[in-house]
Amino acid sequence: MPSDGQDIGPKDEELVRRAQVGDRPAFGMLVARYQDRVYNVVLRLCHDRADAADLTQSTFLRALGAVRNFEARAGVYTWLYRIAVNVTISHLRLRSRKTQSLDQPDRTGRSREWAAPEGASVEESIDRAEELERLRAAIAMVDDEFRAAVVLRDVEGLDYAEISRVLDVPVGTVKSRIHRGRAILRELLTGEKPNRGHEDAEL
Amino acid sequence: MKTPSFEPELLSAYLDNEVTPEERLRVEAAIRNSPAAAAELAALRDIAARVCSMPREAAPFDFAAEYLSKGDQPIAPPRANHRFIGREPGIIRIHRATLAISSAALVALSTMAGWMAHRAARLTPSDAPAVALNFPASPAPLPPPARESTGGSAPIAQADRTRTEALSSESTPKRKSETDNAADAAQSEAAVALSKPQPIADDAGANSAAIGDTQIVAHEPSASPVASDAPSDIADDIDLSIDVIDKNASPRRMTDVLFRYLSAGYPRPSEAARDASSVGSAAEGVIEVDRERLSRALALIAADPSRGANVRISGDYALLSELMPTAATLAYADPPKSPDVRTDDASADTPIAMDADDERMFAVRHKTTGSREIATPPAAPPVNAAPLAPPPGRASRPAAERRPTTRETSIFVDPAIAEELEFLRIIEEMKRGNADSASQPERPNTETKLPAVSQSTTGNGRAASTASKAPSGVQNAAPGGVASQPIEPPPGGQTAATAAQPTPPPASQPAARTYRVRVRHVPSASPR
Repeated sequence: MPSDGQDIGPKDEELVRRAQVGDRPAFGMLVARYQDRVYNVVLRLCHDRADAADLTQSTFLRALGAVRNFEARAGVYTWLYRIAVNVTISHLRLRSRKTQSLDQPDRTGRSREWAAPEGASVEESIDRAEELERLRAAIAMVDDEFRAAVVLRDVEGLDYAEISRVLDVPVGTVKSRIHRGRAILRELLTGEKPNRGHEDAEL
Repeated sequence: MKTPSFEPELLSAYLDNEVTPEERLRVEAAIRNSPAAAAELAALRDIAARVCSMPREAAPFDFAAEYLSKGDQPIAPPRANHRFIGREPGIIRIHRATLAISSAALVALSTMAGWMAHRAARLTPSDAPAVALNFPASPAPLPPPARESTGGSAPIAQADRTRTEALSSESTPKRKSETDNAADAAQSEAAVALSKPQPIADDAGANSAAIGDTQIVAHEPSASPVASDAPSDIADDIDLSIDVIDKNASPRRMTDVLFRYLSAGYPRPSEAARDASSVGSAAEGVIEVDRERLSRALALIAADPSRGANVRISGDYALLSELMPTAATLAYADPPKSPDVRTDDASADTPIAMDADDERMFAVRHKTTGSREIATPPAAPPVNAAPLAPPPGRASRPAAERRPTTRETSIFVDPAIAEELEFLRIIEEMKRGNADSASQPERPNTETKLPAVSQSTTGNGRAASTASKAPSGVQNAAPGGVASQPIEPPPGGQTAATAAQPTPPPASQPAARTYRVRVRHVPSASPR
């Protein structure tokens, strides 16, 4: 998957090599290249902008500390996603011990994601806002491991092999988690449970 | 042939093109032969599309700047507010435990000392102990509670109050366990209040109200001269001005949507508004709208995000308090007690202005001319504050009889705080307004899809009072009616389809009061 702006300037691998020998601005270029994507993944996972900003910062700090040991077998973005997902899920587990409700609203204005399409009417804007709010709430209710798989697939567009590397699980597990995550979302959003009738379908 | 049940996750994998050729054949055969499988696939595709359609956001900070600007410096330590991810180091846990024990001991000692002093003070000579403790005969008068303090010491009083609440909640273990988040929030507020005792606005005369975890600040407007005698930039024939302030992105979409909405249903928009799509670039336009449409447009401003743009709504306080009760409530937590928000005509020369200099701030600034009255600090504006009680004398004055004055009220609504303005509540109010304006009292109240709205904020009282003020079409509103119906119809009971056509208001109804509204695009470099 092409990275943001990777076509402009040095390639990721070159920046990683420079960062590994202490070129801090090279690492900064990597951060600039991926900060939006990492931030969005974290935001979709933790649903709090303040936390997402902190966790994104933490992700890059960890990446900076680990860049010397990074082996470019996987893409840089896969590596960064892996750090981000691990950091975020650790944070979510820590937060869940504090009995914080998932229904608790984001303190920093989720309204920014309520942008209606260009030229939308007021009604369309409101409908869009409600739809996004329902979707956001539903995603927040999905278990972390399913949510991570669905977000990486449907938001970030990673393929199953990449998700497998990010989550460090077999591809079969990725397949199962994505399906389970979508099924849970479907049930939460529409109230319909997955139909099992097709399991007896005749070929 | 009856096939063995295939793994349901194959459907998702098929959707993502992550199946082997053999699996693809199996799934496609199943889809052909089983409507249930086809429906399941369609449902999964819909869910995936919906998740995929969620808008992406830009990172709130330039994380790269730190690395790009400090090329040779060592790795910066995490920020002060960085949270520990995972298990904290043992030494920190030990220090925290020690600190907690010390704090508890200190609180216990303080409590015991206070209790002893209190008990000794209450002792009469007859039941005093034989060994005189030499306590005074009567206790020294206690200072008034911080909660009741007003005036120029408001920042400190507010900070003390917040701190007291935070400490009291912390020193009560039972409550602490129950209200962990609330205590944390209170502590956070206290920290903000104590660490930032300066007024929000940089110039004197600030009396700021804020929401969320921001501070409440007030100080004397006479502390330094206030340049409030500058003429208002709102012409007398303009009731309301909506300024879309360009910050770091084009606000054109918001102005376009606003004008398109404001101009719908009115056959004679002004010259500037004739081409609604060009308003964003034309920078300014004036249009006449009725109250319902204007109110909904203002709610749209509060609800609709336009990234990088602030919106300033300027107009008469009475009008704004009618149109934006939520905003006015937050800005003026307790207007009747505020000497700055006077209601008699003698105060007509006192301009009132709201301002916000902080992007996340919802703030109010009162400007006075020659007045040395101290603005009473508004109480902490709870998010679900009670609806604004209009100042006496203003609410009863019909809008049509309002005289042009120099008084000006500006409300800054930043998209980032639309969340904290309780977007859902605003939408709820809009829906209620629509339901009311539809003049369909027979419509049953259906359960809304949105979360329940606090009765204290959007209950029947507000609905009834709003209906009583509405110029037309809302007199028959069912108080408190909450419907999950579509947003339309527009004022006058039109349907959504008819609303899109330029249709004058029905002739059978009395002419509704219209307001002249100016919408303009203000570059951020322009002085506010």
